[in-house]
Amino acid sequence: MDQLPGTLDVNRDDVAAKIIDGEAIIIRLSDGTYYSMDHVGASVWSLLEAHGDRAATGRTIAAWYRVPPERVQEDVDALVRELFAEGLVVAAPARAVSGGGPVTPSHVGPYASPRLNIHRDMGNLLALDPPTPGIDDLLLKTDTDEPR
Amino acid sequence: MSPGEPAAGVSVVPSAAAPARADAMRRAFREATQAHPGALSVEEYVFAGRPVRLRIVGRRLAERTHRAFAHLRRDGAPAARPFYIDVWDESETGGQVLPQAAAMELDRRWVACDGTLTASPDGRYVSFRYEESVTLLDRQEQSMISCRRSGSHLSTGDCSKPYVLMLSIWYHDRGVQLLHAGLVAHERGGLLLPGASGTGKSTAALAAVTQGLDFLGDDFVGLERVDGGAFRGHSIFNTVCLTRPTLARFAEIRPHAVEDSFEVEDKPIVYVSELYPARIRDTVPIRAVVLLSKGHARTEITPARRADALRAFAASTLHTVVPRPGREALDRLAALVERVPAYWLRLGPRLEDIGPSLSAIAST
Repeated sequence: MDQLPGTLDVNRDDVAAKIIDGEAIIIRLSDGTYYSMDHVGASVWSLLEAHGDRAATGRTIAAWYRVPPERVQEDVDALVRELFAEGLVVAAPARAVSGGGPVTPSHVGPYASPRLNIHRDMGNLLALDPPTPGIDDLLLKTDTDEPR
Repeated sequence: MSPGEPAAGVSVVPSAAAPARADAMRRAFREATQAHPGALSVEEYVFAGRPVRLRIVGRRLAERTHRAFAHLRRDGAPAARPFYIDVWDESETGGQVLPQAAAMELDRRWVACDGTLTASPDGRYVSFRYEESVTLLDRQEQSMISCRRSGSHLSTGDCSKPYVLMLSIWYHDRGVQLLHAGLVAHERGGLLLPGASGTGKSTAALAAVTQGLDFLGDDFVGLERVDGGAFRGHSIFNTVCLTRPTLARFAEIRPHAVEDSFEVEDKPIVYVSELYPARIRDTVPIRAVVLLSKGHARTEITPARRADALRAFAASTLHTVVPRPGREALDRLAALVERVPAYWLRLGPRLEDIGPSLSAIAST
């Protein structure tokens, strides 16, 4: 993607994520690929999840880690490009910060350019067939039509 | 072809026909039992606290299938309606279901575990077919029916972890998550050993039981969240599968391993409940998560970050279990690692250090 959108959102239909001990662990549900990002990457993820404003994310990270904003924005944009390529974020309209209070840094230590670590299932990579099903593909609808 | 779409050239049964397919299989099972009453065996079990009745027509198939669940067997009639698992062996009963197995596929189709998984649109019926068998699960009725070509031609997995894919769906429906992990227990609680294949789960679990700990599983176990937010682990199979070089390290176990003529994934199987009946447990509260790391000069324990533990579950359970666990499983595993401590167990060359190390973790 040459032109990055100004506002983004987590691809909530296909992504489940947790931030724990300052590390983001992200699962792409459609094929089980999982990702991890430590400290700075996890902070970027929290901000994208909360408001999705790419430029504001860069400014906030620069302030939290006391690093020149230009450098941080380059890093944030490079990371966002990867997140896009993996289908983990999507373009979205501008929105208010989601509930749950102000976003705080996942961990503030020395700044390092954020990296997305990708852990693919080699079976899925090599398979010509569609990926294996997820339990969410097999939702059981009950008489009251409540999926379980 | 997109996931869930029928494959070209595959006969697809309209959703309305799924109950008829289930009825056809039930009828074939009934006919097999009536024609071969002497080959029918019925056993009652408890899986994760729920009653299960396993009926098998076919002597060799029964002997090999019941054995993996033997530690969960119960005497007497169940207090509630059980989950019925009905299985027959066509080579022994002369049934005619397998030649039509492709026509038993349901509306939505995936390729999974070298076979074909299909489901009705409402998710009630799920079928799994691979070359030597077809199995159909009715999730609403809580019944599963399966036909096998021959009980004499089974893979290591068929014998050591029968029906694991379909059982994972049944467990999921009961709020129990199938984990790709080992589970051993000390009197103070259970230690989960998550990890992908080759991380040392089976070696650690078997070493633990030979050194006085209790065994619940080496590869697949159930995880359930109970009142108050605590977690309970459930045994599913009483087997350990090892490569021959690894088995050779267990001199006292080696003569008892079953070296069958498995045609696929040929590994000896150790039936733990037969060797150590007093060291088998079916359910334990989870006390800690233990992450295994091989190839160290000596065995030692160090604290692990919760993120390390969640990453280990991501690499094993969330990444490899079929059907793939979803958002709910990630939430549950994140809650688990928030609740119980995690440790690294760095494995040195001496097997005899593993049990005491695990006991020390459980006593912490």
